[in-house]
Amino acid sequence: MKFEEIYTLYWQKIYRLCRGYVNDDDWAKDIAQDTFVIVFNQLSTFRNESSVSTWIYRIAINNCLKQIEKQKRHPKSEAKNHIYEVSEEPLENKLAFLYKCINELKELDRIIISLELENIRQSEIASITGISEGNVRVKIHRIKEQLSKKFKNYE
Amino acid sequence: MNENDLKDLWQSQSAMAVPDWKEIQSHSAKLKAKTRRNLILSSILLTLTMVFICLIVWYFKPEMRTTKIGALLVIVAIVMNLIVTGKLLPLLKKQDASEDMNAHLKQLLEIKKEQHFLQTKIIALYFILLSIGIFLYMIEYTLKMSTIGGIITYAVTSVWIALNWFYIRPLTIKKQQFKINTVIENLEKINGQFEE
Repeated sequence: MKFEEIYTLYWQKIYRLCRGYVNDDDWAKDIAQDTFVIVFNQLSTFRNESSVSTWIYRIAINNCLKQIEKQKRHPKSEAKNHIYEVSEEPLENKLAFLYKCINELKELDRIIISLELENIRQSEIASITGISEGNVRVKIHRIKEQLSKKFKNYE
Repeated sequence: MNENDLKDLWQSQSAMAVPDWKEIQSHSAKLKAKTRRNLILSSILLTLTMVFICLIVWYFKPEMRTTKIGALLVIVAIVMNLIVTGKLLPLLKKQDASEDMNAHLKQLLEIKKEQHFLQTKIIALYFILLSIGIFLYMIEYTLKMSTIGGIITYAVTSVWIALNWFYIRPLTIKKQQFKINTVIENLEKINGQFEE
C-alpha cells in the first residue's frame, strides 16, 4: 500500500481517535501528524505481521500515550471542553458533548471506545491494546452504559 | 441515544479538510534535520571544551601532578555527563512504535525509571568529580600565592562549590525528578487500568 493511499484512508480516523483522547482540535492534529510521520518513515519496514489498520492504530495510540509528557504544554484543553455550550449547531453541540464525555473517561477506556465507534472489530481492538478480547467486550459494554446515561441527562 | 446513533455521531466528524500529505513529508525531513543538527552541535561543544582545557594545561605547563589530575577529572566529568545524556537517546530510540499499547506502556515505564536513576546518580557524580578536579587543579597556582591570597582563593572556591552542592544540585535534581515522577505516576495509573 502506498503512503498517499494510507494517508487519505486513515487521516480522519486517526484524527478522531486522537481527538477522543485529548479533546483538543489542534493538539489532536499534532498527534495525528506525528503518527503519519512515523508511518511515512517506517512504511518500508512494515512486514504485514499485523494488518495495516492494526499497525497504524498502534502507532497512533502509542503517540497518544507520549502526550503524558506534554500535558503541561496544552493547558487550554480544559477551556475548550465547553465549546458545546455556545455552538448554534445541534449536531456540533452533540458531537462536542460526546468528545467531552469520552475525555472524562480513563485513558484506556477513551482508546477502547474510540476504536469501537470507528467500527473496529473487538478482536482487533484486543490486538491493538494488548488486552484480552473478553476484557474488551466487558469494557465496551460498561463504557457504553456510562455514555448512554450521560446522553440521557443531556437530552 | 442508542449504539448506532453514537457511531453515526462519532463518524460525522469528517468535514475537516485533510492536510496535504506532502506536509507530512516536509515535517519529517525537518525533524530529521533538527535531530542531526543537535547531535553535531553537542559534539562540537564537547570537543571545544576538551581542546580548551588541554590548551590551558599545555600553555601554563603545570609541574605538579595534582594540576594534571585535576584537569583530567574535570574533562572526565564533562565527558561522562555528555555520554550519559547521549546514552539516553538510543534508549528512547529502542522503543517500537508499533507494538501493542500494553507492551508499549510497560516499556515506556521501564525507560522512564531508568532515566530517573541515571539522572540522579550522574548529577551527583558530575558535581563530585568537578569539585575534586577544581580543587586539585588549583593547588599548584595557590601555592605560588601569599598565604592570605591562598586562603581567600580556597575560601571563595569552597563557597562556590558548597553553593553548587547544597543549592543548585538539589534544585536541579528536584526539578528533573518532579517532571519525571509525574510522568511515571501517570504511566503507572494507566498501567493499572489494564488490570481492572
